[in-house]
Amino acid sequence: MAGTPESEHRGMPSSDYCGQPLHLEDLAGLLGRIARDLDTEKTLDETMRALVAAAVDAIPGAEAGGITEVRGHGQQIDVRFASDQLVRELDTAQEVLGEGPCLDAAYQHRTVRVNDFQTDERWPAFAARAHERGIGSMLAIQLYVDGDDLGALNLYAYQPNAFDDESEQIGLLFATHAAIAMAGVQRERQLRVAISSRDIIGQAKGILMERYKLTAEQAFAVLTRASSESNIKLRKVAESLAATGTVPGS
Amino acid sequence: MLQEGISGVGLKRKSGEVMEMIKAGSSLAAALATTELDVSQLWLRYFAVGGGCSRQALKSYLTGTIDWSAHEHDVVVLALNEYFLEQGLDHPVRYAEDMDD
Repeated sequence: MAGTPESEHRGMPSSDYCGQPLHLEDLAGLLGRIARDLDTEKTLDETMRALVAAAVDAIPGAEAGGITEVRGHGQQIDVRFASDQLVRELDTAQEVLGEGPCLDAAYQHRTVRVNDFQTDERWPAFAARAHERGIGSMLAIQLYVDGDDLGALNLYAYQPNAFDDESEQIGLLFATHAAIAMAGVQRERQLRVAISSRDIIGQAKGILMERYKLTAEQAFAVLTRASSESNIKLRKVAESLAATGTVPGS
Repeated sequence: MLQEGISGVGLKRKSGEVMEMIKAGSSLAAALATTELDVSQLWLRYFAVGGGCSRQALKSYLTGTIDWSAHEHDVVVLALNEYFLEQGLDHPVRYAEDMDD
């Protein structure tokens, strides 16, 4: 497939989209459900697992689904969460075959719909494998971009033509909310680690301030010097001081 | 009340201790530009080693809009140097206190 600028296709429906409108009442209820399902109190794993379950439940036509991470430009595929083993097999098959809707969705930043694996000619090897396993249609939506790693949400149905415009609209809503929720979970985790680090460094500064009658800045300078002279990270120097009472290298 | 900071002029804290304000954010911005980090990621690392200023204040310092204390400047230096260490490089960014005579 020819390369296209990222901005053109990300978050947009597939080439099969006909422009059917989504009813507003349904939309409000759906967003509420998604928000409740994607609670940032959960860990990232729990969030993704909940997302797959919610997506399979809410996206019209979906009977199975999974989240797949693609790395190294399709060289490596990691099925992060799958509603069942079949999904895992099919997502992994794309890595072996080097082709598939999920790969295209991830790398071309688009939504990809396969209405009928028997007649779709875009991925002949993958289509044959899917058809063999009883899958009729599929919807692949780009979920996130994390450096060189890309994530896609894949939905499968046993019948052909199971997905329609509404499926795509709801799928895209899911993708947006999921991306925000995942960023939130990740941010919270990072902050927790940072706060823990600050705390231990604060303890070390306090020890030095009391012991040598230093200001906080002077104590920090002592720790920094110990860290750069020994090539040990400041946090480790601080941990060592708090645990043993001595600064490495002093 | 703190006056507008001018490089080298001491300002007094409430405790009576003199706090030196500097305007060397551009050197940090230049060092940051050689990394794959964005300002938010740098801030998180700065925060993790004890930095006391907000993300927005860091952005303002890096763009030269505001002055910072030499101490907070050095906390950013540490954060950057630790990043370089992780990459297997030496710690190339100099501390503010090393720049004084």
